[in-house]
Order: sequence, then structure tokens, then C-alpha cells
Amino acid sequence: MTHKRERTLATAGIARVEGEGSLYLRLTGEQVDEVRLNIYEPPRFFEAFLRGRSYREPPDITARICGICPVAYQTSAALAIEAACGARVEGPLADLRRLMYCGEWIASHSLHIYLLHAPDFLGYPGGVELARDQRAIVERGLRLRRAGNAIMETIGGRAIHPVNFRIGGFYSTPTQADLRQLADQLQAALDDALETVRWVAGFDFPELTVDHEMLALSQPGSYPIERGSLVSTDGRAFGAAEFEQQVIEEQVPHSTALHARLAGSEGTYLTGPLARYSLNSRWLPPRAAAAAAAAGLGEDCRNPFRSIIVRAVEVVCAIEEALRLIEAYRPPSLPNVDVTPKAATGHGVSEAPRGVLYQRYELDSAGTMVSARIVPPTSQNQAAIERDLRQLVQVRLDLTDEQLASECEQAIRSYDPCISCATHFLDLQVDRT
Amino acid sequence: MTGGAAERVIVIGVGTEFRCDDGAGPAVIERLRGTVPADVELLASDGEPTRLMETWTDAAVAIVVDAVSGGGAAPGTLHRVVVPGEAAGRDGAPPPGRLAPTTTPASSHGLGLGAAIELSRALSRLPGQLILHGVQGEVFGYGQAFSSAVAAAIDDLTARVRADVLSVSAS
Repeated sequence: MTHKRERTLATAGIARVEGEGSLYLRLTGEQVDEVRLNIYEPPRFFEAFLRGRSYREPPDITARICGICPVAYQTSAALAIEAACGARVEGPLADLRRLMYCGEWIASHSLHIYLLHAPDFLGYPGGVELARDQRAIVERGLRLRRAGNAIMETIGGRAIHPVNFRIGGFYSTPTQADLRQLADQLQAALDDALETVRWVAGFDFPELTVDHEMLALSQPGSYPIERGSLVSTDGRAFGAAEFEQQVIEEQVPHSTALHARLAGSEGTYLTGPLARYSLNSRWLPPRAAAAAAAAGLGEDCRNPFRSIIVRAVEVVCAIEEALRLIEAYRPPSLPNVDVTPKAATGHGVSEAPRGVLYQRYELDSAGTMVSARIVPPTSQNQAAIERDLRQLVQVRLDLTDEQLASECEQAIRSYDPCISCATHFLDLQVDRT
Repeated sequence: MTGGAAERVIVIGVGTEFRCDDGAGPAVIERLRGTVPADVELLASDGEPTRLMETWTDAAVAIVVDAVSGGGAAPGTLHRVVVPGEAAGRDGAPPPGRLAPTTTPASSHGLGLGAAIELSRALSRLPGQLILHGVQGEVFGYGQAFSSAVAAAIDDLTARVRADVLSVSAS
């Protein structure tokens, strides 16, 4: 009879919400029996909270789901409601949305690259230790993050929970001079971003190739950010309105999060930087494309650890796009278009920094919301992350529990999972029999 | 403090109003409005460390209000900690009163107040004085209602924060 043991091995950071952030591994001899990741609570509370409210409220309310990617939540919400009402936001208003979203990508990716992911490759326990030893490098990351925040503040009014964004466009639009003020900062940021790609491309990457189907938006002619239709590496192509027919979410016993799979497939799928890049690398703007090539990225990238290079390339892409949009900007005659409520259902998708973010709203004729559905990237990726951890652990069974905990944390960090609205820790339990 | 208009005093309430007791920090900020000198900045924050650091970098005094968990104190217990300044914690020695480990969380969503303090210390961006006020939370799930313990403590917490604000503003 083997002795069964279970203990908590690692905690990182402080938990304000206990019981969420946990990884459970059950190992029998040389076999990984079970991998349970319980890191994410889906935004059911917000779906219920939105019912019965006005169709104008989702951008403000959903922005509060996530302090790191409020623009993504606002954008998908607005797209869904505008689709339901038959309104189209185009021209400079659409460009301003893309520009604001670029700010979010720059800020979110820079935070992840410099304070979360890079320390793993450089042998530091975290970003604080990296900052103590290599201050100039971390200052470069903070400059990049500030440049992203500056875009969000200029267009959105503030970087956290932007207040200027609304259904149909904005409450007010910036002048050309307002945006041109950002250009100098962004030119300097472009140099920092290119240097970031060179820096991370020199890291040593653990071998791991994942074979998930990948799902991302496509905006032919440009790298997908603030809108588009969905495509996959297995040849799927569908619009936002078909999302819930194509993405099947199922309850699993160990998690409050649903596990997602694509219709007609039993396999896992992945959304996020690797998927976006692999499906759209040909649409990168010139500096980002050149940086990707110089960094050794091919047409696609299937090693989650190398996602740090993809994020760095996407920062270059977002800065190039921001500079292009600022240069071309001519203020619209009105800051928003009319959006008249209809009894209808609308769907919206955009590329949050962590991947595809889908929302659906059903309105009645007065514009009161009858139902709401929000599917963030992390809930879609949960099953894929668990499968990758299983693959990773299976070939590392000789490691101590402590080493295993560290490697699993690093792997999970490479996906930058969204942990809903609060600080958490990863509590790893290993059960060996 | 030497006084003067350039001496920024800022109060930051960390947390989210949609996670029950986690909303205590922002709730205190709302209760302080109109009851502290007009030049004291009042701000709600999600606690993302680089944003906290940028906010308090050039402040003479920063007072941070946050809900806390762990440590074994009873729900509703109030905490007050004065964070040691720039000179502490050099050469790897943990400064007295250090609040948080600096190990890396699994997600950029998990970087918190402890990381903000230590990152600021590493980059010489701590405010002149940093005072933390905490209330021991009990319920952190989704929702907008405080636990009874935090609901009972929130006025006392606000009064203590206000007393600190008035004390540093007057000096």
C-alpha cells in the first residue's frame, strides 16, 4: 500500500481572495493522473448585475471587471450593443478606439514582460529583485508602460476604468494637437520597444511545443486588435454572432470556470498572443515584422515560453499603429453616432491582451438588457493551460515538489492568466501515490 | 514635513467595489470627501503596483487604505503600519515592518501592494512618508455588501485615516 500525501508547496504573492489561485497535481508513480487549475472565476456576477440595466451601461460596468484590460471589456461591450442596434462606428471614431486599445496592449504587455515574465529567464525571483540589480532595464519597461497609459489617459480620460468611452463612440474627442503631444513619447517608446525585442530574444527558452488549435481574430490588411472575425489554425472562420455555436463551454467538476472547446473537436484550443501571432504574423507593420524576424520568430510560434518575444513584438506593433493613427487623425464632426435601442441581440469580439474577449447582449425595445454573456480569454484557455501543464509535468517527474511548483508557476505565468479582479496566489498541491 | 503648497498629500483606497470587503479602501475614500483639506488628493486604485508607484512617487505623504486577509486577526480588526523609508531594506536585508513577500505571482493581476512598496524602494520612488491602514476582511467573493465585521469597522477606519490626514496636513 502506497502512502498518500498532500501538502501545500508554494505560495507566491499575497492572497486577498483565498481558495481561488490553486493548482492541484495528482501523480501515481510515473503517471500524471490529474491536473486541476483553479485560477479563474468567470464574470457571472457581472452578467447578472447587467440584467435590467440600460444598454448604455456595459462599457462603464464591464471596464471594472479588470484593471489591466478595461479597454478590451469596453470595446467588446460597445461592439455587441452597437451590432444589436444596427449602429456602425467607423472612420476617426473607430480609429480612436483602435488607438486607445493600442495603449492598453502597450501598458499590459510591458507590465507582464518586465515585472512578471523576464525575471523567470534571468534567475530572479521577481520584478523587484530585477529592479534592484538592473534598474535601467526595468526603467525602460516602466517608460513603455507610461507611454501606453498616456494614450489611454488622453483618449479615455484616465488609464484605469476610462470614463470617456461610450456606446456610439466617445463623450468627447481629442484635438489633433492633443494626440500629436503623444507622438514624441511614442517615438521614444518605439526605440525602447525594439530594444525590448532584442533583449528578450536572447533569453534561453525551455523546450515545449503545444499542438492546440489556435483561435484569434482576423482583420485582413492589419494586425487584429479592436475588431474582426474569428479564424483558427484548423481553418475555421466565423463571425462574432456564431461564437456560441462554435465555442462550447462545459462545466468541469473541479472549477467554477467552464472549460471551452471548439465545436466538432474534442481537443483544447488556445487564444492569446501565440494564436494571434501565428494566425496574423503576415499583417504585422514593417518595424514589428522586421523585429520578429530578427528575433528568430517564424510565421508561427507554439512555445508558450517564447510568448514573451511575441508580446514584445506586439508592443512594437501597437506603437507603430498608434503613431500611424495619430498622424492620420482628423477629428470627427461629432464625438459619437446615435445608437437607438432595438429589441435585438448583438455580439462583439475584440483581442484583449490575453486573447479573444466575447460579449453578447440581448436588449428589449426600450434598451433594457434582458441577458448578458461575457467570455474572457482566460476561461477559454484554462483547459489548454491544464493540458500543457500535464505535458510539462510528465517529463519532469524526477523533480522535487518544490522544483515542480516553480516550473509550473513559470509555465502558468507565460500565459498571463487573468485572475479576476483581485490579488491571488498560486497554491500548488501535489498528491503523489 | 516642511509644509508648503508643493507638499503633496495623497490618500489611496485600494480595492474593487465588486468584491465585498475588498471595497473597503475605495469606500473610505468616498467617506473622506469633503471632510479633509481640499488640497489632499483622494484616489481609488486597483492596486496595480506600477500605477501605485507613479501615483505616490513625489508625494510628501501617501496614506494607503486596503482590506487585508491572512495573519489570523479577527475580521474587522484595524491595522496601521508606517512603512520604513528609502534607507531600509538595502543589501537584501528585509526592513523592519516589511509587509509582503516579493515572490512572483502567477499573473500580472496578482502583483499587489507589497510589490508596489518593494519596487518603489528598489527604484527610489517611495513617498516621503508612507502609512498603510488596513481592515481585516472576511468575505472577498463577488458582491457589493461588506461583511458585518467590516461594515461595523468602516467608520472607525475612516476616522483613523482622517486623523492621520489632518495630522500630516497640519504639520
